[in-house]
Amino acid sequence: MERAVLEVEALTKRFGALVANDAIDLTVQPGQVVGLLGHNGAGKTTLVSQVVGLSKPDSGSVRVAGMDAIADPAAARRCVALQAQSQAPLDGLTPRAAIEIAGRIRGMSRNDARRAARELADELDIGEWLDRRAMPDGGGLSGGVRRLTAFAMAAVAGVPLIILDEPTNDVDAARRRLLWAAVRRLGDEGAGVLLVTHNVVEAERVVDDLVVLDRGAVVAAGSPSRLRGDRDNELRLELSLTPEGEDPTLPPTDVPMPVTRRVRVGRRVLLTIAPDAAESAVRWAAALRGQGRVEGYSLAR
Amino acid sequence: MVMGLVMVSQGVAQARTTGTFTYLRALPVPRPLLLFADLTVWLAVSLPSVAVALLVAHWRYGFDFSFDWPVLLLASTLTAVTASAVGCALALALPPMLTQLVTQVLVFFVMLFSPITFHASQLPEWFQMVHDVLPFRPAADLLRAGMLSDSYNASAWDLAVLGAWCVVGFAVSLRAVIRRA
Repeated sequence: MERAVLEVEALTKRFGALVANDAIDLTVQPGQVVGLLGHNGAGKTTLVSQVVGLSKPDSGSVRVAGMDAIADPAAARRCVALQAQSQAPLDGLTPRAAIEIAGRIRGMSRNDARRAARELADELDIGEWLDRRAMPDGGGLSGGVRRLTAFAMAAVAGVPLIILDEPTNDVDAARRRLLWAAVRRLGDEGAGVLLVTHNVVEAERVVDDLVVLDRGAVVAAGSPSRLRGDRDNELRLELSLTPEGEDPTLPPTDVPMPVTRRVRVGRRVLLTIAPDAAESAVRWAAALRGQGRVEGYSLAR
Repeated sequence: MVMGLVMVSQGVAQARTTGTFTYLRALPVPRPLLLFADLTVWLAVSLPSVAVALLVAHWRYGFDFSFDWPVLLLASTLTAVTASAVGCALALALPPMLTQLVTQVLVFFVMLFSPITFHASQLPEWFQMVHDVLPFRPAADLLRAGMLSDSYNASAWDLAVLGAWCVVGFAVSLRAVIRRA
């Protein structure tokens, strides 16, 4: 088997009495996208800053592409591209210049960097801003375009390990999809990707493995479907209620199938049902829509 | 001096607050290189001010210079590098808010309480001694020796003091750039 691009073993980092990282184990293989999830302050960014040598662990080991990142952080940093959680410093630069410089720093030729910048801009659909200058007062480029540019700066050169810390912050829904597709492509082309995010639902579609942190410790790890467990086969029926109408899932109700879970958010009701109930569920929902009792419905796994 | 101590340190302090500093440190670039790049830029920004000051002095106030070019070049470069390195060190060693405060105090100290625009003999003796080990008077006297070599002489002590501050500034900055929390 190929050597893992990131091996974190028993990594512990304390700030005074606070244990920010508690004996964390984590591995990213080449070609693998690993999602790192956790609440605010769970220790995700602390973990990342130790991998790139911004801070030093109290104990444990970090190996990047086989190199000891604690003993030789400079060598390890050459193998890692980081999109930090804070905005990248773009002031005075155009996205094109920023992406090209990022490529050149990693040893790309001028032509390669130029071509890669163009391709990434097309992939992320930020071509129209490519030559607009970011102003120090925050003008020129929107937060989303800045974030996408920072992503492109991390993705421009082929490095063994790419770390993305909340890459979708400020990014609109359409470009978030493009971004996720680009993340998946990076993995498929052989890079290891460590993806730090809160956006569980969207990240789930591109990651191979998930690691969940809670108060500094790993509480769950594995593929998304394994983490979901046996609920994996269940179906979700979503109903969009009419603004004034009653909720047809409330008793007395005519729901024809057993419902294991019901969640209502605003005008949307989410029912979890067994897979063999799909047919009756769709028939029922279609009837509700025909009677004008719901505005729409969808069934998903 | 004002340029180095105030603009550099505020620039660096701002880079720390906005995360730019962290971002740069995460790049695959040797960290001392970051420091040298930064100081080179500030050197390029501050050096022309010496030339401008000389021209203004000549045209407006009719100064006649007797240049000692090696001394002038060495003194202006060393002054600019020292000021930038010390400014950088200040900003990296202190919390950003405190940096702002300290630099404001330093501006007044340099402009009003340092024998740069007036003669050192106008200060009390003990204060002259303090200025013998601070970088401001030595820098000013070295520059004077470069511009008016017929009436001022460069002293080895001044050069040593300025050089020492330069080394300290560099050492503190380097340590802060390389250090891992």
